[in-house]
Amino acid sequence: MSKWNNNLSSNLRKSASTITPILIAFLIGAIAIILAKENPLSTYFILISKSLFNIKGVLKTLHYAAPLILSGLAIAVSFKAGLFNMGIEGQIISSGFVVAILGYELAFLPAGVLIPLLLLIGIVVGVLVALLPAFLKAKYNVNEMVVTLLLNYAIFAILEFLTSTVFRDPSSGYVSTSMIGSSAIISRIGDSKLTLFFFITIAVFIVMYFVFHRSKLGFEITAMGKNRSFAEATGMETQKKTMYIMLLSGALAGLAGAGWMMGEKFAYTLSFSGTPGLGWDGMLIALLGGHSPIGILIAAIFYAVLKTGSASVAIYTNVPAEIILLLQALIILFLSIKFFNKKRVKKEPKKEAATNGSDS
Amino acid sequence: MEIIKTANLTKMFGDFTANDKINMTVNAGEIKAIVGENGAGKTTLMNMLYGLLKPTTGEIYIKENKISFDSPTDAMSCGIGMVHQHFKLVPSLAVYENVLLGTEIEKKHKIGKKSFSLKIIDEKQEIKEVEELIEKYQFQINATDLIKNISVGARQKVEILKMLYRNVEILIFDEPTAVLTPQEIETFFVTLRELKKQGKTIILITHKLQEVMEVSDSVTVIKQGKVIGDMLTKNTSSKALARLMVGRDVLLKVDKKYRNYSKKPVVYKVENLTTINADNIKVVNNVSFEIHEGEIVGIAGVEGNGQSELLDLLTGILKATSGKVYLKGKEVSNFWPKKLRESKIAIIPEDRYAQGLCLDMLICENMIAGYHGNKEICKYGLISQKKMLDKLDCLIEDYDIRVSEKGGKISSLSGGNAQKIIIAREFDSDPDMLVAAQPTRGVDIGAIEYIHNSILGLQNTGKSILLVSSELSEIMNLSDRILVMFKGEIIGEVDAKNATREEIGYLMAGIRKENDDE
Repeated sequence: MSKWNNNLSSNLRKSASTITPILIAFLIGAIAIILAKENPLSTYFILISKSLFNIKGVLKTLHYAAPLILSGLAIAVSFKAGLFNMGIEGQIISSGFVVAILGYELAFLPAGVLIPLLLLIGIVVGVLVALLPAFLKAKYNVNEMVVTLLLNYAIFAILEFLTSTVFRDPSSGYVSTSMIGSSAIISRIGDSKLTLFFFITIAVFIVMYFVFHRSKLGFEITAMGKNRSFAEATGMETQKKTMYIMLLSGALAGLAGAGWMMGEKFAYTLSFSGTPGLGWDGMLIALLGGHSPIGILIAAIFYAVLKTGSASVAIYTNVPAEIILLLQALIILFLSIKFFNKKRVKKEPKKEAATNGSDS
Repeated sequence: MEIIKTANLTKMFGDFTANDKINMTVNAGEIKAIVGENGAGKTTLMNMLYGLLKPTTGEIYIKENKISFDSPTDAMSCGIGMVHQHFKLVPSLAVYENVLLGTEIEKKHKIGKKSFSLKIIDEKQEIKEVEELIEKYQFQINATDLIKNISVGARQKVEILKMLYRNVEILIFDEPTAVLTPQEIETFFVTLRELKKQGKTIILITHKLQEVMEVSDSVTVIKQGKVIGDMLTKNTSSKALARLMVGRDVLLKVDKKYRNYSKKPVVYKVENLTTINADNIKVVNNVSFEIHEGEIVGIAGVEGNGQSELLDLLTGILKATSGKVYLKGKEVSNFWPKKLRESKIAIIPEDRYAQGLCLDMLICENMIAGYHGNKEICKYGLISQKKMLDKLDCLIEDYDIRVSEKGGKISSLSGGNAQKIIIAREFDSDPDMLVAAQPTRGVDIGAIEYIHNSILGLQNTGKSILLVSSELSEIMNLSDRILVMFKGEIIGEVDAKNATREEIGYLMAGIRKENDDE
């Protein structure tokens, strides 16, 4: 724990630079709310109070947070190692799709068997989707960012085709697979939205916390991300590790997709992952959380607060629920401006020197 | 006529003085060689002349006018051009397009008496001008060839053309022959002489002494940021230059006991090790040697003669194209670093902050790196924080490492203490064999002494050591036998006890003993 105390000041600085973009986003969001002829303060109050100030809201928030925590971790584990798995979205929807099909086909199995089985299958699907870019990267050093990013669109198109033809539920009015069987649905707690899946997520979170901070793998992930030639020279077998890390990232994404299917959606539709999609949300969350597990937990819950509250905002005010998309876009924008600033600071002395020079 | 003159030119990076009151003159129309080891400050000096760096104090005079450059563009307008070691060319464009990049000629149109130019490139005119230039300097390249299709030597000529087109009078070459084959080097010298004939002034940064002797008119030797020699090439020899470059006074004398190790069993054996780099040059050529139990073998040589590549081969970073390495009779050729360490070969890497340590990670994490999978620290894939910190406490104590903050990062340590972290980490693994590269580069005197004594201490416990260093005094003080590398080969071997600086200096300059006797 001594690590923590020493890094306290740098942690403070880090959180300040994360919170500032959020505050600016809310300030600009306020302008949009004023344009919708509503009071920003009361709107924001509704946003937060409905998702945090009553038990039902809190449970709903946590329910939404679960897949976000997983997808944030999936991003962080690869980004921290200097690998860019941009394919979380594709891995999540693939897993969700397969789970939806098998959840329908295998509905005769008892819940005690089917749910763990489907979660496992979801993980396997995530790993399989991540296998191709991981292999290409480790073996031929093909840029994993490009491969994973493009695969998302290919996967989405394939699933769209399968959902609207082979696996379409004929009784449904829109493009959708059949509903998974009741034995494949993860049961809710009381009359809240929260399911047992949240606790599975927390268990995974704790494991990942140890992986990041205590394990040999975590040590090597950090070393690879910070200084690859150091990692190679100290014998960390970076090619093999690249493979492991990409697959671990895919597994986390697969679990997120399976849980989201069995706890919330129950059938694969084209809007299964929402807009902009759980995988993309995960990217923002990992960025907000500074790629650390605790940071991701906080960021995911914050994000779920917005998601939960946005419905209430639409109900109680004239502000449309899309305000949340605006806030999200603004947060991303200002988070990237933070990076931009860092670079500019470096360049400034040179500029100064240039003006001094021309004076003399 | 003096074309460039520097007066007390000094450049500091923080507390570090890279150039210390450099006074140097370059005469118009001469080929001036600037020699010195890596890190001696040659490049810093040139970067100041070329406007990439601003001097901390001191002045630069070009043709007796005091100047101050803010950028290479300023330098270029004063007639100074630089040909970098790594070419800055666009592979998919033709030779003429690269030469004119940024100064394209626009098509002129005439309507009546008025002429105007549109933003359209006049390719015909461009090709014509570049061809004229090629003709003038007899470069034997084709203006319309694509860069990606021509040889490295031809690419260098394109770089030179770029400068000539911009009418520079002074050309600075940074390690120009590093990327060239021997044949290309010959043509390069022809080019240099041709440029000189056309009245250009040339500054050649190099650490290859033969080239200096062959082509330059005068030579300036820089060591640790200071000019330590300035002479006409005809009045010196590669031997004398080598001594100036590497031979600083022995500041420390270590207590070294010489024994005869030839009867002891061979621990480490390298057999015909060869590797070819991307440009198809044999950077390590048929290297063979043996190290006996308890022996220190030093590898000396002017930098850039294959020592770095040999080290990369022996430490599992580079793959050998042929040849074998044995440790205690077992083959360890082309082993990954992890397996080398498991086979009990400890490694002190050449580049402390690239390969040895991670600046951005904690001291305790660096202290276990490479050995972080060992059972005593890591169980079931989890690294014990307590044992890691215990180890840190223990090694900091044992190796007298001055750490201001135990929970800090490597970046908070001085060079000497950072190097001690590596020493502690590697020695603590109880190796059979140590490969130590530049163990004292850039560390303070106190740390040098400490590191030298630790290496000798390790020898006294019966371990074998391979020491590669560009510091000749270090090699001479520590080794039992000295091998000298030249152009990727081991050119000679001397017994350290009776070796003289001159003898090694000859070998470093590529002059074999036989020639010496003539």
